[in-house]
Amino acid sequence: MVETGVSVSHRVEKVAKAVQVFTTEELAQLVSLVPQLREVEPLGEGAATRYFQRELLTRRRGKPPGADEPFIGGLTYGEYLALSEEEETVFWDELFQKEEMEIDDLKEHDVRSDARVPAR
Amino acid sequence: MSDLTRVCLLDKNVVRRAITGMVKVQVGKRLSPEEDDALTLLWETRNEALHPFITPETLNLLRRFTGRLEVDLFLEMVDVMHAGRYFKRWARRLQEHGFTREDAKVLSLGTFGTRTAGDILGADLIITLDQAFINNYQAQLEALQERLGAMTVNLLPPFHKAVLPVFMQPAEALALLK
Repeated sequence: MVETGVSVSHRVEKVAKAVQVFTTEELAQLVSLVPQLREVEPLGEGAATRYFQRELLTRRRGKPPGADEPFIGGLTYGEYLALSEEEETVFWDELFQKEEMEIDDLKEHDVRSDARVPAR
Repeated sequence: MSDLTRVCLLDKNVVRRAITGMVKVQVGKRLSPEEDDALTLLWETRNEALHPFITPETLNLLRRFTGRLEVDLFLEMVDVMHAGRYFKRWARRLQEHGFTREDAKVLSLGTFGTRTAGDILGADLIITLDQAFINNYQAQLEALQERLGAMTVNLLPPFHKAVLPVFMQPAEALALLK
């Protein structure tokens, strides 16, 4: 059984063992008999996504960003979401390039003598 | 920050994935595994297991876009790792080891970075998706440790205790938290 990191009750483990030997057709029959299975998300998965979705949509009063709304770097949300992975990489590289500083331009700050240092 | 909190410096590619993920979740678009990991990592910071930092350059970039809700929320969840004393010296030495200027700055911040209060020195983890950066670091780890040791041996506290950060991809950092 796949290790999920989530504690599972004994009866669920027993059912899972039985279900694991089902054929695809039998699994489909099971979902027909227990339609709630379609709605359930696996434990521990999707929690972060749900948090950010809820938090951002609350801040937007429930209205998702419009495709024509300005996002960053001169692009609208719609244009940004239409970028391919390669185009998105180039877009961000160009944004970061504009902010790149020389090593000597970064100001060094004081550090306390009792500062926390990572343990090794 | 508790004693068990791990200070992690987020590389720009992780920042990008987190912000893109935030946009996608609002419009119901499927996240890539990298975006999902970046968002999950950020979300995990709520329980203080991780304290995420960004570089001053990332801050400068994102400040240009404040008012965008995704950028604002992201900035609320992270701190800024400033250059501490010896940052410049170490960054220049890292360039001698073949690191690009950009990678040298990130690694030097991870070693000699601090925050405004000056109460930390360096990061436990550098979280990046840049495999070339990770490979170069791993290949030179022994030489870097030797060079850092030689540089810090006679320095005053806390600099004599400076250590190299551990490099991880977001998915590895998440596995560490489980």
